[in-house]
Amino acid sequence: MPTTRKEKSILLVEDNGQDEKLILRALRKVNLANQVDVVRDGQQALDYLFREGEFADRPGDDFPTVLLLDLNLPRVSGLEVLRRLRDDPRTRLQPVVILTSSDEERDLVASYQDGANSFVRKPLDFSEFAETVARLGIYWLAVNQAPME
Amino acid sequence: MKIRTRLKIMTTASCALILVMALLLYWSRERIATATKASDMASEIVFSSFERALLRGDYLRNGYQQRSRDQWFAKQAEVSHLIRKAFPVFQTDDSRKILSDMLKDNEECAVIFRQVVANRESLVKAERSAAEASAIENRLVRALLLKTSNAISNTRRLQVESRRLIASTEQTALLISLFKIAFLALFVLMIGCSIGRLIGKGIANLQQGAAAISRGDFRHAIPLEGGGEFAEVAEAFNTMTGKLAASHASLELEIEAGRRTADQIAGLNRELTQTVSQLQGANQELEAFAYSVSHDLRAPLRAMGGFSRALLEDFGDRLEAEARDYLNEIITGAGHMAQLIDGLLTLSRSTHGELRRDRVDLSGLSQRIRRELERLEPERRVQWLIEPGLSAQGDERMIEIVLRNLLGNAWKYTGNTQGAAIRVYSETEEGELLFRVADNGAGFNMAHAAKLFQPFQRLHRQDEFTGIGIGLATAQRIVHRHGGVIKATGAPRAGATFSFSLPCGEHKGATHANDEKGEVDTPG
Repeated sequence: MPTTRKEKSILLVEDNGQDEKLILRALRKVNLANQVDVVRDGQQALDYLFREGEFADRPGDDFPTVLLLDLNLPRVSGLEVLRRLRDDPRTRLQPVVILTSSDEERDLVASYQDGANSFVRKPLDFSEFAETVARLGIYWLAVNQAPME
Repeated sequence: MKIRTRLKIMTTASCALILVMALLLYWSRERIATATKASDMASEIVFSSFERALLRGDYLRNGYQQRSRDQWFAKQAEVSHLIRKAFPVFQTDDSRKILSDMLKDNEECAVIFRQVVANRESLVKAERSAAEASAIENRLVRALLLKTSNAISNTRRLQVESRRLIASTEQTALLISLFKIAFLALFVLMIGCSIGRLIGKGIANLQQGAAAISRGDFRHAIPLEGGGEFAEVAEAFNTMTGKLAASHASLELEIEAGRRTADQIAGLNRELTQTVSQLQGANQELEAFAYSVSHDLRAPLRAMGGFSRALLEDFGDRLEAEARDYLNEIITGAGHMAQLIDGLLTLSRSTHGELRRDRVDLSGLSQRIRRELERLEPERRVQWLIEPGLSAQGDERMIEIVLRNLLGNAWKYTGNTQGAAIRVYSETEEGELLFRVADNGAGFNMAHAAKLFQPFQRLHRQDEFTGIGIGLATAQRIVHRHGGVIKATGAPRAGATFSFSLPCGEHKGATHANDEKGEVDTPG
């Protein structure tokens, strides 16, 4: 289903409100905050993407430019969300960036195996964290060429 | 009575009987010899008597020759001599009487023959008429014939006597022999039976005893019947049984003790298994804890630091200097705690997970860490000496942590040192290859060396040198997991040297040797 993106957007899947605030602040600093939608768990993320449940009436017919996905999520885990996206032809090529506190190697390996496009560890240092998030936003929305379906 | 004694008696009796038999044989032989001799003599007498009769006939028919007469007298003397000679040979009174009669008859024969001779001479002298002389001679010859036949019949009697003697001797010898053989047989039978009975009973007793013991009845005693060898054997057997019973009892005690020990060991094993599973559980919990720490502790920390930073950045100009200072303290504290969390996580990971076997280039790793350190503090001037070609086998990520800690420490503690120098090299000590990281920095007091490798133990104040006190503990755990040792020497303000070994890997020399060997093994 070929679509033309009218507007580039980010879907942030983050259950931690504080991290969410810090991420949004960092994106705001680079003027990307108004292009961000936020969901709090894996199920919400899937519902949002496939327009199901509470997101059945979500306007527009496009998918976000990039998904910023935490791994530790309530209800449906980040990796499960990733697998479901990769199994569905509509989201098979959906760019997904894992953004997580974990630096466990098994998480890193599992993420790439399940088809993540990128794996970014949330830096503990706030300046670094803000900078990383800002760079991510700019890269995926402005620099990276998204796949056309 | 002992069996040996019985056997001895039997043997002795048999020997005695054989001796008696021999004597008997000798006796009967003697008697038979004597009898035979007597018979021979009788025959000789008869023969001589016949010869004499022939001589007489010769004398009477052939003209009364002087020679014939003399021969007759000689023969007569010979017969007398033979009869006398026979006396000692014939021992029975009857025989002697016969012999005496024969001797008398013989003498009378001589008298009669002399009368014949005289009658003949009187005829020659013509003192008598021929008819008268002839009548006298016929009468005398008849008397002579009578005597001769008498002698012969006597001799026959003697011969019969001798033969009877032989027969009786043989009979006696046979009877005695038979009797003795019967007696011997009976005796042997008796002794044999008694010995057999004794042996049988003894063996039966022993058998019973052995059977009892084989059943495990060590209290069974064999009756000491009748003395003798079997009593001795039985006594020895009973002694042996007693000893066996004693040793069996002690063996049972030992087995019982062994069983108890085995039970105890089994109990200990169960406890150990429980402890191990508890430990495994604890380990899993610890891993889960570490995982949760890595995720869940970081977020609030990031929030503390992040919002403090945001406050400073967004509203800093509206805050007083003291408030900004406090916010900075929060940021510093959060940063320190972040380091602690990372350190703890590294420490936890260093004891878990699979140990990889990489070829680790210690020299290259050291150079990389050196560059990172220099980049962080480019203003510092430190003289580095890193020996080229250091390599070991082990988990590269872990060995990097060790080197990062040791080189980081060396870098940190030479911070206040003029002419700071850090040296990375290897040395063989007591046959073991040691990698050393030496510096000429702050050093430490050897009295506190034991504290160095304990987590959260520091030998310097935070305002002297920052740190969380977990790096060396992690390094030690990693080296231990590689089967090696780590130790430190130093002195205050004189630097420190940390040495560690990685024996599960190959050292530099061995690597070269293997390379050379490899070339030899695969030419071309």
